[in-house]
Amino acid sequence: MKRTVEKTVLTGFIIVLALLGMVGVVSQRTIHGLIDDSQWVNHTHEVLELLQRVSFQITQAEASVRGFVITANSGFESQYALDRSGIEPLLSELKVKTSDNPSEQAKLLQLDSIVRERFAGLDDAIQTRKVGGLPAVLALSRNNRGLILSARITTVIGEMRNEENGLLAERNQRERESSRRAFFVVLFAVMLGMTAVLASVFLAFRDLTRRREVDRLKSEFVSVVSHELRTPLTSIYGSLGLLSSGLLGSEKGKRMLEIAVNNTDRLIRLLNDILDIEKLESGATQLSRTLCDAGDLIRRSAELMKAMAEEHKVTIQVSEAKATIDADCDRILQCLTNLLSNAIKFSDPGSQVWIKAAVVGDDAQFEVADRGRGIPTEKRESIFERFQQVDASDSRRKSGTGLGLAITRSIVLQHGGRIWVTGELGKGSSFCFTIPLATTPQDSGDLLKPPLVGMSKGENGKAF
Amino acid sequence: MGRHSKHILLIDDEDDIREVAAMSLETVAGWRVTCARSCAEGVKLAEDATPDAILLDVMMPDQDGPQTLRLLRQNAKTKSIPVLFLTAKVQPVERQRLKDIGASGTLAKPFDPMKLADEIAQTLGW
Repeated sequence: MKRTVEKTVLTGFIIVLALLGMVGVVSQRTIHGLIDDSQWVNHTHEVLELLQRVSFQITQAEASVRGFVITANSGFESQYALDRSGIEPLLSELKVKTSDNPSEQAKLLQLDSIVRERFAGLDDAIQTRKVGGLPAVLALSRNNRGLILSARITTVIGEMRNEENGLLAERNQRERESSRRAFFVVLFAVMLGMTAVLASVFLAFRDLTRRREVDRLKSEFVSVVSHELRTPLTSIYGSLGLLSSGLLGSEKGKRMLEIAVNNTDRLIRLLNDILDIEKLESGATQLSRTLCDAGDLIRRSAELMKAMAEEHKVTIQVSEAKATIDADCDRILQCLTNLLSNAIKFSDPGSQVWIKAAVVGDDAQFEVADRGRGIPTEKRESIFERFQQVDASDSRRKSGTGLGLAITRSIVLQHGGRIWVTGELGKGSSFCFTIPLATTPQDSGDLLKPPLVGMSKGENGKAF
Repeated sequence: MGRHSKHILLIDDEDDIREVAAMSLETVAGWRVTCARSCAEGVKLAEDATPDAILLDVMMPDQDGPQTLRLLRQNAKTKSIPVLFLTAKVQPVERQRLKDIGASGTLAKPFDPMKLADEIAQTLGW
């Protein structure tokens, strides 16, 4: 996986921006709703105030008329004219402000006509006072018409105020809800933003840690490789140095030469394996896939390891198998011989090792088993890492490079398979790996079978 | 001091390196060499044979060189035997670290088989 810190930060940044953008839109809508609700509350307050002023204006006008009737002072008359002229703008403003509410509009019409009638009565009272004096006005008011109209005005205004108060309660409630919603939206936005930022920081930090871990593993690998290379070189340098001195007799000289040759061989295998695993793990190795038969592969690997098995007095049991895989046959053969080589090395003389292949689900599953000393549970993962033998002295005693299983795993993974080991400590181990079956199985006659010199077709269960 | 009849105990887990180093010391210097392939075996042989010096590999699987040195230093019979490390790591820092834990010197791997005995003698002032 080639994710860089920069990519992570950029991705995080884009996600944060997108989230904040979305939250911004939602917040804007919510806050608009809140402003709208507040405006409606204000509007209701204005209507209520207008109603109050209408009521006050009428009371003022009535007071001025009473003053004139009692005193005939023209000052009261001009005050009344002022009060009267003030009522019209108030009523038209009310009309505009309640235009959204049909029921208030109806009541306003009613109020308008009563107010007009009331003012007509008041005009009448002024005129009557001027012409007929106080007794005429008293006679006029005997029908209580003014009182009735005043009461009706109070009633209608009361009804309108009630309606507005009801609306006010409703709008206040809505405003409170909007506020709550806006609060939660903004809170959510802040938390979302913070989470995204924290997640980005976490991811970036994790990537950095991972990168540092890779660097650490690399330098550890270099250090181990340098030690692994220096060990055979020490033997080669030492033995050849002694040989060239001419101090050794032929017997000792022969032994020194043998050491030099063996260690040169070890050095070559080590270098080959190091190059192989580097190429495999860096992806520089291209698999040359062909259709191959699993049964054929296990037979060929057993044939290739026959000499080594004989040397260790171990027999290889091969099971018959039929499965077609689309794979790099040489590489799969390399895996199988690696596993067989380990199985033979860790088996006692006279014992057997087994190699099988079977179809399991969509995969061909290969298995190499032995009755050797087994692998402790805690090492069943690390055993596939480079230079990680069960016992650190294994590579020396068993002449491996310490890279065989790492190479095998790398090949299996490149084919899209899995590899694992099971077994019981002291009773042997069983290495399994899977390779996906070819999607279009073809007749086995089409399978690519590179000829193997001296190979005999193994029968079911035949021991090589 | 003469260089004859020195007895060296060589502790290294690599069979071939042990064999080559032993042959170098025996053939070139005429010394007697006893070999051990592990820390445990080495400590036991050091007790029994009390060699003139011990050549000790730094990286060994069971217990490494420094651990072996500690065991040798704790043992009354072996604590005064000079110990020289054989190591691939020859940076001054590493040499100093080994000196600090009580090594008499450090010899580099790969070693020149013709000069190994000389180097030991020189380091130990023989």
